[in-house]
Amino acid sequence: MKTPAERIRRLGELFDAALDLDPVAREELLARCRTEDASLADELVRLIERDRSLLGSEPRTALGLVETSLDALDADALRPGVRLGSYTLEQEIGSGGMGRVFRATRSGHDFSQEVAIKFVRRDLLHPALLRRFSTERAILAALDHPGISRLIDANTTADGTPYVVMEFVRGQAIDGWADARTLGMAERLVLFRKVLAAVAHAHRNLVVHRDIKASNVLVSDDGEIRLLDFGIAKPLGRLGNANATQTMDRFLTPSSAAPEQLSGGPITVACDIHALGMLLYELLSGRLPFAFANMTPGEIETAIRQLPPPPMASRVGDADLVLAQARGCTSVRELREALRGDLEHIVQRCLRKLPAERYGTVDQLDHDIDCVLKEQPIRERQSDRWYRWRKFVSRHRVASALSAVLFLTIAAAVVAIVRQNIAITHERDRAQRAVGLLKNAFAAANPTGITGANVTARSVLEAARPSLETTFDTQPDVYAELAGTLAEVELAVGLSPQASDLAERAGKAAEKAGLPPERLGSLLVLEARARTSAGEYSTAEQRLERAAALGLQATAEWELAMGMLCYHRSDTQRAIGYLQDAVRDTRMRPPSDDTAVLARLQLAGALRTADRNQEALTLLDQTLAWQHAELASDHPRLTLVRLYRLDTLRRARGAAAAVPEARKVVAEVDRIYSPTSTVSAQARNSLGVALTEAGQRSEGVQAIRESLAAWRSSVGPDHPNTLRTAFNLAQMLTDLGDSDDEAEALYRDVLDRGERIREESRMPTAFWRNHFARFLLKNRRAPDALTLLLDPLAESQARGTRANIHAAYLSLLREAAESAGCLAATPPGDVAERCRRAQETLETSANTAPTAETANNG
Amino acid sequence: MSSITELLDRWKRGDRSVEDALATDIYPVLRELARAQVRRHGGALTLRATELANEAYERLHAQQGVNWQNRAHFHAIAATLMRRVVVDYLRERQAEKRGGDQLFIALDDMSQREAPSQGDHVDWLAVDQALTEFAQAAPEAARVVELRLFSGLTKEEIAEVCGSSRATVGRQWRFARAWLAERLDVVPGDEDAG
Repeated sequence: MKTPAERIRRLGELFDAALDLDPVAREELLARCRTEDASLADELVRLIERDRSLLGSEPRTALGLVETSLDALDADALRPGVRLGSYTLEQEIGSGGMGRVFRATRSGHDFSQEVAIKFVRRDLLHPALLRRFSTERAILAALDHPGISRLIDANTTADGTPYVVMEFVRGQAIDGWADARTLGMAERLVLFRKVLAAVAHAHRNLVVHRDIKASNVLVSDDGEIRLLDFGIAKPLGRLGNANATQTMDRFLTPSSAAPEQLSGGPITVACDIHALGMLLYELLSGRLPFAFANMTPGEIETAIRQLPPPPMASRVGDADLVLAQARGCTSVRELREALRGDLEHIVQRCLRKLPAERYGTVDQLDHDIDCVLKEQPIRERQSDRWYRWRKFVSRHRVASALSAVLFLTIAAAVVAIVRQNIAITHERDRAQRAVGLLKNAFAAANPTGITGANVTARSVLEAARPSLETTFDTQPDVYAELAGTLAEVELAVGLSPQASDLAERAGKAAEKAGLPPERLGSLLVLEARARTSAGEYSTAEQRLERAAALGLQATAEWELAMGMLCYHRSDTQRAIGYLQDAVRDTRMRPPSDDTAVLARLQLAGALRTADRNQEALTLLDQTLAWQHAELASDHPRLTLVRLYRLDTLRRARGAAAAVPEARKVVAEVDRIYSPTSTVSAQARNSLGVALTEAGQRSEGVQAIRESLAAWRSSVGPDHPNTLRTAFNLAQMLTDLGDSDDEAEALYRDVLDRGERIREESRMPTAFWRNHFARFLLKNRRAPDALTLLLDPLAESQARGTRANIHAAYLSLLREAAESAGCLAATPPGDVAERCRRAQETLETSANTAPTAETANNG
Repeated sequence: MSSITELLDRWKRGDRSVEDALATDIYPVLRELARAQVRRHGGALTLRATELANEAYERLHAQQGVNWQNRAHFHAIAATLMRRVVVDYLRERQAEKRGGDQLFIALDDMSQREAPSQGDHVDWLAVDQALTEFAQAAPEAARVVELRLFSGLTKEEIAEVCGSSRATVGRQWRFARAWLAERLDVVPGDEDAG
């Protein structure tokens, strides 16, 4: 008998030997092996089968969605010297999200032409679209403009890889070209207008580029521009089917896409306008609106779809002298000055989220740039100032606790006061009071800092930012104070990266103004907290070290920040130590003190993580008693602590003990906030969990139902929290078994919405769909379950997740097919077609089509 | 003092006794970076091995003057540690989430941060366990798997750090992959992360 290790070694030898053999010889080997050890032979067969099915697949490195290799192509199949029809590949000149690019020559009897061949990744392409591509080719080939590189040919290689052949252009990307020649702003605009002329020509011929970006705009030595890849993006994109969100323009460089390209909206001239705005932004300021390089695709998408681009001047840092000099400016300040005003307005108008709010045509954009060059006023300046405010008012979801008008008044007051470059002390105090008011307003509007609820708050903050920036150079002391407070606000509403930046700048201003070391130290501590919350732990630590060196080590604020840093780093023991110090050092403070309350809540959280639930509960009880002594019994702070306490109470004392308190908290929250606030949603959720755990299931259902209603009205129907709660409710209803209609409607809604926001939020739709199918089967609705499981996206999504979900999917599909009568000799007429498709899906999944041996077989 | 550089040199020359010492220096850095990455991605497990190892290297380079010429070897060492980081992280996460109904766990997390979405990652704990078992029979092949899954090294670099040829590494990889897939009963196609 072999040990398991010996067996593996033996299998390895046999496996290795079998790989070298042709099928006949391999069978012989297996036969010999079978006489020796039948089970070993069986295992070997399975391994060889596995190997075959896995060929061509890429492993997931580390975890989750990790970079797959750029290209599904065999790296060796495309290399210099390879011939494709009349083309000979010469040199690989690039590779990117879309595929690989080669310089090649086309040789005829008496000519030789240089071309660029772009090989497209097969996984980005839909066969139907490829066919359509060939009909559009003629139109593209007819685009005749000196600024547009010609499409020459499009075809597929023998193994089905599509490629396009374009005129080869020698030149440098427009941004690099302009920098290398230190073009000033006006010269850059003149160059940009050439790009506009080419794009306008294409638009007049009804061709949209869809992927304009600096690397697609080359400039030759003599200063003429040439656009690459015109129109070829189109046939590679989305099916004209509103449901096919999966296949949206994923191959696009996400950072140069317009919002509607990411959300599957119609692709029009407005997409190119947006991309031209991005290009102009980059060409002028040297930066893209967002630091895309450090963002995940999901974050990029969120930024493009939701965040207003910051002003160009704000993207230029103090250390950007080289950038300024490359634009013919002698100082950073001069560059910032040049970027403000009409140019900023033009760029912002290109970058509006709604296509209808952008320039309608390239010619209109060109006209405004022409005005700037001639130093004439541009058309629509006046409406812009109130744009953000209008937008804010129209979207004021946060206003459940606060009137939007009040909010606006405060924010406008802040901006106005700061804008006047106030120097007089009492005026400055007024400004600070206003900001303080603003801070409270934000806190009241979103007390628990639910991510995603602050889009509107954010637009207000960003509107305040440019006016604030004007004080940085002239009044650094004012800047330090205001920026510090704004950073606190940003941190409070969950905008930690912004808060980090702002706090850092506030610190710089404080140094510049020579403010006392305590003030600088406290800004460093604030920055450390923001960095911690943004996940930049080592920077946070450095800031805390600097603050300690300035003598802040013994302050409660420092201890709190350090404790939170340790807690985030999962060093729970040290976290508890620092947080206990912070709690001790704030004992004498009033219960209205932020640091004091936060220290207690954080310590309770850390204790809970360390499984010291009883201590956590005791601490929260003491906190409540302490607050009770000085605050009114219905003070919002008190209620929030009680809300945080609910889960600890349930864990420490059991669900039955938590239920009565949860009911009281819900009543309190309804009174203080509103039954439709995020606070109420969370309170009702805690109540629902406690009730369910305590066995009061139908009451639990009711509480979760109300929680769902509150999420819907506070953060909207598409927010991940809303969807998760709706799914949980559907599950609970299924268990109860008496509200099937409601459960079904919820499942459908959740799947539908989850599907739509899947790309940005990674909602587990495959998992949800399985549960819905199980529900349908339980209710003897096998044909409906079949329909659900045969949704075009269902199989691939299930396969894209982890193995057990895919396995569950397949087994549900099998069960649905059986229950629907598919096994009968002649399945019932109305399900026959679904039976056939189910059969097909099951077969394909059982033996994944062998892929050509590719880069992976060693 | 550039102790890591020294340790790396010794490791490169085949001295495996320095691995623990290296781990002590590098593991905390990797772990911290990994956590930061996970938090940046809203709690969803999306570690990028290459990025992490590069960040770690840069940091150690800056702090301790680790020599860049050892990059491949550094990544090789980092792969073992990455595996530990990942496994430790997942274990901790599991520990945090013991008890209670799975459904409500996601909800409990909501007030802290967006809950990690369910069901979108590989069961790495099972992979780790199977790999440990496999390593007892075929240590070299197991090492290849570790490098492929947890380092950003190319196949050529893996062959180089293993002191082997690309062909051999390819063979070892195919066998190990088939064995692990069989062992974990990976549904065919599931690994196709395209």
